[in-house]
Amino acid sequence: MNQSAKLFYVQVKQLNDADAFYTNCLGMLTEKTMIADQEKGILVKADGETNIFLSERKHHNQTNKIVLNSDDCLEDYCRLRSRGVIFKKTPSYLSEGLSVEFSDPYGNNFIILEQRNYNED
Amino acid sequence: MRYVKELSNRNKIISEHTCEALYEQQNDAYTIKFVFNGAEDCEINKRRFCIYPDTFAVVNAGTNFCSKIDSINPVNTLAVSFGENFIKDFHHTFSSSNESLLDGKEVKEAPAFIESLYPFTGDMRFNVLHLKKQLDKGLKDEMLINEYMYHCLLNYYKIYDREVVQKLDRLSFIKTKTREEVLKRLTLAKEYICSNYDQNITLEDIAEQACLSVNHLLRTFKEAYETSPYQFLMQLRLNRAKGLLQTTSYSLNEIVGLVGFECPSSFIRLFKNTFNITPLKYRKSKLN
Repeated sequence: MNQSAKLFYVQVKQLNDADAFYTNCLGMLTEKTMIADQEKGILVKADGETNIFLSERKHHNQTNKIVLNSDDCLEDYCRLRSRGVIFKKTPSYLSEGLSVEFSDPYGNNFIILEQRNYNED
Repeated sequence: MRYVKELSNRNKIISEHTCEALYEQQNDAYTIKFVFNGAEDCEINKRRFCIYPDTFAVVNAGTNFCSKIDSINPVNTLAVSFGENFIKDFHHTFSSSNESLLDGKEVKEAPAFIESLYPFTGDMRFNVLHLKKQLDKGLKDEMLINEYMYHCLLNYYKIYDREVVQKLDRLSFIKTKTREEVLKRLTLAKEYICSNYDQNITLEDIAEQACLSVNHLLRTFKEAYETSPYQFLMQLRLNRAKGLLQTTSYSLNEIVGLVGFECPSSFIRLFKNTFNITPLKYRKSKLN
C-alpha cells in the first residue's frame, strides 16, 4: 500500500454488493481484508493516492464524503456514466479546478476533482 | 499529417501537424481554431491576423476564411467545428431563462460572435489540451469528444462575456451601437498588435488599422482594457518571450529579436521588473 495515500473509512450496507459496485461500475481495484480481528472489510484502491476501507459496521472514524483526484475530470465523468454511475449534476468549475459528484448505492458522496493551477505559465 | 473526425451530430475536429498548408474556403460551421506551437496566418473577410499558442480564433458559419502555415518547424493546429443544431441548442440553453426553457420554445436563433482572437488560457486551455491529448491517443468515443466540445463552448461563452460583454460595459458611450462599433475597432487594434508584436509598430500604425484617431484610440483602449496600447504590447512581448524561453532552446539574444525588442539589456530589466526573475533564471526554473 502506498504509505502517503489518503485513507477513508466508509460504511456500506452489504460488502458483496459494494465490491461489485466498486469493481464493475467504478473500475477500482478491490481486495478482501480484515479490519479488526472478527470484522471483514474491503480495501478499495481508488486513484493511486486514495484508499478506502469498506465495512458493514459503523465506526467513529468513518466518513461519507470522499474526494478523488483526477487527471481529466471529463474523461472520468464519461467513463463512469457509461458504466451506469449516476451523477448528481454535470461537471462544474470551482476555483480549484473542475469537479463532479456522484454517490454510491449506500449514500456515500464522491467528488471527482481535477485540480488546475490557473496561475501556471 | 492531417486528421479529420466528423461526428454523427455533425460536430467536426481537424487536427494537423504540418510545415506548409494553404486553405481558402467559406467556413461552413462555427469554428474555433487553436495553434499549439508556431503560428498560423489567417484572413477573415480581408482582415489579416495571426494565431499564436496563447490565442485562439473564432470564425462564424458562412465567413470567407483563408489560412496559411509556412514554417521550418512543424506547426500543430486544431480546429473544432460545431454542427448547426449543436450550437443552436447550446446557445438557446445558455442564453434563455429556466422558465422559457421549460416552455419548450423552438430554437431558431443562431449566435453571431465577434470573429477575432481571444486569450487561450484557463479552463479552455486545460480542456482543449485534454482533447488534443486524447485525439493523439486515438480517441473514438463520440460521447467524450462531444463532452469536450460542449465544455469548449461553455468556456468560450465565459471568455466572450469577459472579453466582449464586460468590455462593452466599460466604454463610456451612451449609445449601445457606438459602444459596439468602438469595441469592434479596438478589437482590430488588439488583433494588429497581437499579430505584429515582433515588428517596430507605432501608435499611428495601430490607430490607422483600427480606423480611430490616435487620441481616440488611447482613450478608449485604456477605458476598455485598463491598459494603454503600449503597455499591452510590452506585456504581450514579455509573455511570448516567456513562452519561447520555456519551449525553445533559442539564445536570449535571438528571443529578444524574435519578440520585437531591440536591446537585450532593456528586455532583461523589463522582464525582471515584471516577473521578479531574470529571463535565464526563469528558463532554468522551467527546465528543473
